[in-house]
Amino acid sequence: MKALDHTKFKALFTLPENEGRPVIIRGVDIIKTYRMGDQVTHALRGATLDVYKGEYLSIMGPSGSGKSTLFNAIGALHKPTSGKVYIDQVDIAQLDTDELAWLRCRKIGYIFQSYNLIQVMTCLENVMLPMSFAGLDGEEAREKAIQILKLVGLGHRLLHKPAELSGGQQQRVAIARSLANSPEIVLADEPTANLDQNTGQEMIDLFVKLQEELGVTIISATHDLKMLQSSDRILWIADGRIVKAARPEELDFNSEDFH
Amino acid sequence: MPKIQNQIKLPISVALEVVLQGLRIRLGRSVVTITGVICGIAFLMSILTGQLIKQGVSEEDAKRAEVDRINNFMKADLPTLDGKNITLIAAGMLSEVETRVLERIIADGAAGIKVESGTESQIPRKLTALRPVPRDQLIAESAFVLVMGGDTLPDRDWRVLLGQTPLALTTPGGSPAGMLDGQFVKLSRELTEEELARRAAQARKDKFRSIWIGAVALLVTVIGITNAMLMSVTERFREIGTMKCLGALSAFIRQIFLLESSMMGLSGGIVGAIVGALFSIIAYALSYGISMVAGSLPLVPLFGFGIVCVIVGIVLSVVAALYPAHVASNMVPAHALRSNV
Ligand SMILES: Nc1ncnc2c1ncn2[C@@H]1O[C@H](COP(=O)(O)OP(=O)(O)O)[C@@H](O)[C@H]1O
Ligand SMILES: [Mg+2]
Repeated sequence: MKALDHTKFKALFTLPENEGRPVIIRGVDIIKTYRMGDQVTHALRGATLDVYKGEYLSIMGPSGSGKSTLFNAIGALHKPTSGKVYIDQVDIAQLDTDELAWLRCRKIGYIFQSYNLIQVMTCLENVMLPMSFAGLDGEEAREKAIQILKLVGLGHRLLHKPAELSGGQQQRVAIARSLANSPEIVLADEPTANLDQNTGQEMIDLFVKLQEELGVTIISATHDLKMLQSSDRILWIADGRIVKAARPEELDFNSEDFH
Repeated sequence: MPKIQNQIKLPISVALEVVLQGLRIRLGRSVVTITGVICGIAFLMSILTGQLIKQGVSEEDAKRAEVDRINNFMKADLPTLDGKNITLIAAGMLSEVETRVLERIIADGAAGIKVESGTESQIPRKLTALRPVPRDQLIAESAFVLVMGGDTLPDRDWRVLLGQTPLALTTPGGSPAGMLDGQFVKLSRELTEEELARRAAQARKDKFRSIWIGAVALLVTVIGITNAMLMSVTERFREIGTMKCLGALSAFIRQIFLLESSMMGLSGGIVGAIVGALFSIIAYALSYGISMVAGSLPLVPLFGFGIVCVIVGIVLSVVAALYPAHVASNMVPAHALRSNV
């Protein structure tokens, strides 16, 4: 096994004030290559990053730069071609399928770019589904799901099917579902892409609240200026690599880079 | 430090709930899949029922021919039975053919059948013209004595009994211990060796044919069900992957598929067995007549075949779902996330 050498990327991406902060997710030299027949896509070419416990991290990058692929890798949804992912200092490559399932169920809440709601289930059932995987059932689960759906402003749409909702409403169901098992980490892949301005702002407020009040670590891929401004830290991904890190205060959001 | 645990195994009731919900919501889709099961099982059941009916009809034909033969034989000796009494000595349970011979005798105008009190239980209830009498009144005023039933003759003073009657006939295999050969006329007929061989050959041929047809029916069923199950996995790739992303265990996904397929197998099997049996019955009723089919179809084996068909439906559905369930439960969660899948 290759010995870990964090010094290289630490020098690059660890801002001085983050030195020594507990790391909840660490990705080291993640490479992901997709092969479809003859066609080979190098989606990640050695991405290295630390995510600190309790921070609100935004990841920026042009479409196709590998954001979703990186999310799936650090969220234990697929195995990288090479490289390491540590969640709470555990190398997830060492986990068996049951442990991975537990991790996905309890530790991480996912908000997918394409919602991925179960179309045959109502909003309420969609939110209750991860609860049932965690062993929470019946009235208790129902109460909790209703509470979360109210929190995202869908208290009046409990029994609707996803197809009966607008894109923004579906995304809110997805957010509610990600919070079902009170995860420590929320991974959100372009969560505001389909939301209107107001809803986008509500969602940012929700993220900030989750982070500040519950200490949830939030990682979100986004182009949304407001989201970037609300986050603690921004990473840039380009061509499958993390190329830059900064705090929003250091950035000029009026510059060309953001438009 | 590491706080990773094993994901809990869900109780089967959760899987059942998901399955029932899925079946209800995807009703149209489920109906298509179940129809595949129904077709296969109905095919199988109609073949089996057809065999039963054909066998029953040919047995019935043979019985009718035998009754005709015996009646003609008796008529040759006794042109008319009008108002006459007959004595019946039952040596064991009467066969269907023997009963019918007696029914025919009554229908031809015989006054009644005397039997020894105490032996009525060996004679089918549907023979209504029975008159139980004490043993010593058996023979008096009888046109003839019939000895029927498959067992050995009861211990009687045959010489005295038969000395008083003009005619004694028997249908069982043997006449009483060698002594009265001249007085007994044998009604039953032993099959010749050639006939026996022909029947055995026919039975072998029929058996081979039904096995062959049954195998084809099973194959059709397996293909239909496998195809339906594969389609239902492909269709739900995204949904299954999403569930895996949310922490569903592979075992849970497998359970969903196997539960779903066994329920489809059960419902499709029941409907298929009924449809298949009805189809065969109607088809044969059209060519042989309803009464012939109704009279010759044995209900117990028919029911047995029905149960076999339902079990076959369940087993085949589950077997057909094994591979799709394996594929689904082992998929990489992230595969579900590409919107173009
Ligand atoms: N499952 C896949 N199979 C093949 N190619 C893929 C797959 N997922 C992503 N890609 C390719 O990998 C690259 C990075 O994709 P992605 O991670 O989705 O980028 P982003 O989320 O930043 O838009 C793209 O070129 C995309 O086409
Ligand atoms: Mg993406």
